[in-house]
Amino acid sequence: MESKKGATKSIALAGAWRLENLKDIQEAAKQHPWPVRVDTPLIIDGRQLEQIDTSGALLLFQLLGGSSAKNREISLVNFQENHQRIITLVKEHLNDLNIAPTVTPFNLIQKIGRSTVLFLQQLARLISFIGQSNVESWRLLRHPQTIRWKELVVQIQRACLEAIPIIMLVTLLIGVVVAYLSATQVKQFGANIFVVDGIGIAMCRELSPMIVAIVVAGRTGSAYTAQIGTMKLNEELDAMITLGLSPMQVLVLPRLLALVITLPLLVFIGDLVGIFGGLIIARTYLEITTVTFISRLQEAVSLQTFLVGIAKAPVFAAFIAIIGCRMGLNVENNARSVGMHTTSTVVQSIVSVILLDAVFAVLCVQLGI
Amino acid sequence: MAATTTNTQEMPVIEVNGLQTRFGSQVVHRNVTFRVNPGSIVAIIGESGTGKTVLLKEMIGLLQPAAGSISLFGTSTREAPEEDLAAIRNRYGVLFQNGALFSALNVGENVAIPLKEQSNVPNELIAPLVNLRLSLTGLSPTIRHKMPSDLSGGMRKRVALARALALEPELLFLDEPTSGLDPINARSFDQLVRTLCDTLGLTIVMVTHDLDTITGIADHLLVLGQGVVLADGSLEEVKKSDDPWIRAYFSTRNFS
Repeated sequence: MESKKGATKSIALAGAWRLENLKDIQEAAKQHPWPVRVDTPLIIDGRQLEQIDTSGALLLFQLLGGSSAKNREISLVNFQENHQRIITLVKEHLNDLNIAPTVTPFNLIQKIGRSTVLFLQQLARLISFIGQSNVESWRLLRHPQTIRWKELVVQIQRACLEAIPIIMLVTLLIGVVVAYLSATQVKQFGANIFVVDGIGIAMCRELSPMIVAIVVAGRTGSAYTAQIGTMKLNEELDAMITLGLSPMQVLVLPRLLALVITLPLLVFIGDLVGIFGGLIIARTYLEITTVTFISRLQEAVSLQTFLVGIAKAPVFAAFIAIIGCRMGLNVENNARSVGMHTTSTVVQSIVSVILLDAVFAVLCVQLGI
Repeated sequence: MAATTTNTQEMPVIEVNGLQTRFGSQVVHRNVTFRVNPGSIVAIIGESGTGKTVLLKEMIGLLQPAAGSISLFGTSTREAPEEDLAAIRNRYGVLFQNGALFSALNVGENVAIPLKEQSNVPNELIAPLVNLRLSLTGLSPTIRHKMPSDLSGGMRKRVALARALALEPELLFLDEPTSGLDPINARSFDQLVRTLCDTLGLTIVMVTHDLDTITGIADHLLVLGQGVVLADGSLEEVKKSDDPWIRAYFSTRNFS
């Protein structure tokens, strides 16, 4: 891979000018002055050249001054035919070599403006999506015969039945933890029995609806986005529209309806299991018998408290389902987009569940419930 | 084309011997044997379900056959140690059916990946090398910053070809290179493949259904069927075969 410079503007190539040797050739080339002036004709001798590939030829022209070598008078002598062909091919493409990719400089104001517009567009689209699903829901209620029962039942099975074990595990642990922590406190005052009030009200009114909604957002909401998004990638949505089916009716409404029916049921299970967790702690640490626990529970937790908790569930469910489906329909035509939208669904759903819970808390206080 | 093989002593680039493939009880290949000589374009054809793509995947090491041997550049891919396989992998490029571009990377990064990961090319040379590959495949390097999802099917294939060519392979596997392209694009892709084969001295093995590709640029045909190689030879030789499928295949179009 030695390159020698002749007395007049002529050079001779030797060795293997191949991709794996580029680094060494470049190092070696620094030892020699290269005839880079484009206005002088150049003769390249290839008698000793063993191998050359397009990468080697590219380096040769880079050493000879880059794309300006294109119009230089270069004669190739003593080359093997295939070597000459490769060098000629690369020479034809020299113009394209040093095109730098267009890099837009970082501009804070532009970024802020862009993301504000994007946010507003997203918001507008969300509102129109909510409107659209309302219209379709009304139509469904007026013509209940168009409900897709099979799809609805399948969705209920996936979102409800298959979620029961994880919901039970999570709410049981939350019940145990809350009861245990309050048990150590109430013990100091001898107010053991009030742990029943604490766990009953906390579980029914706040903890169970919120924890269950968060688990469902992570479990079902993300599944909605991934599923609908993949269908979109696979052009299944386009096929559906072509067949005269509306994705809204076939995909979104059954999921929305399924989750609105399902979440209150799951919250109820969460209430029971969470209180059961409290019962375990009450029996083992506070010497409260099961009978005492249950009779105290009936006094402490009013029907109203229980209903407030259950009533939040459908609202949470509607938000989770709408966010999940909308993000799925928004997926762009690549695999990365599915992942990004799924993450976004989970984040958006959890944030909106917590926000809604805060709204409910304020409303209940203001309304005196 | 002949000149490109001047200093190779006719050692076959690919040699497949007694290859058998089974999926459960379904036998795909009973006994597939053939060899591919350097510097030619070989088209593998056959009815759907005769295991053309499976054969391609076995040659590039994505699937393991049940029995038989596959040698690339004289090294058996089933017995060679991992280091040898890694060296061989750098000597061939693969163009997957839908391009298989990495969707998280832009065009330039896609083509640069093999150079960055598998070669010691100095950093300042990577950009011009990427531009050269794109330019060789008929694309303008100005599309370097585009994402694969923003490209048309034809462009995606060309970018994928540029990526396959990144490490200066001697052997190129193409899986249905012209599927999904319009006839004009498909023919210009064929010409590109032919030009690359002739100027760079590449050996090209492709699975295809496209009669125009077969009659236009293939030097050699390999017909798979009933688990064996039904015919192996030039277009003229294969057309003379009296196998019913081959006859039906070529009678779908009148050759003038």
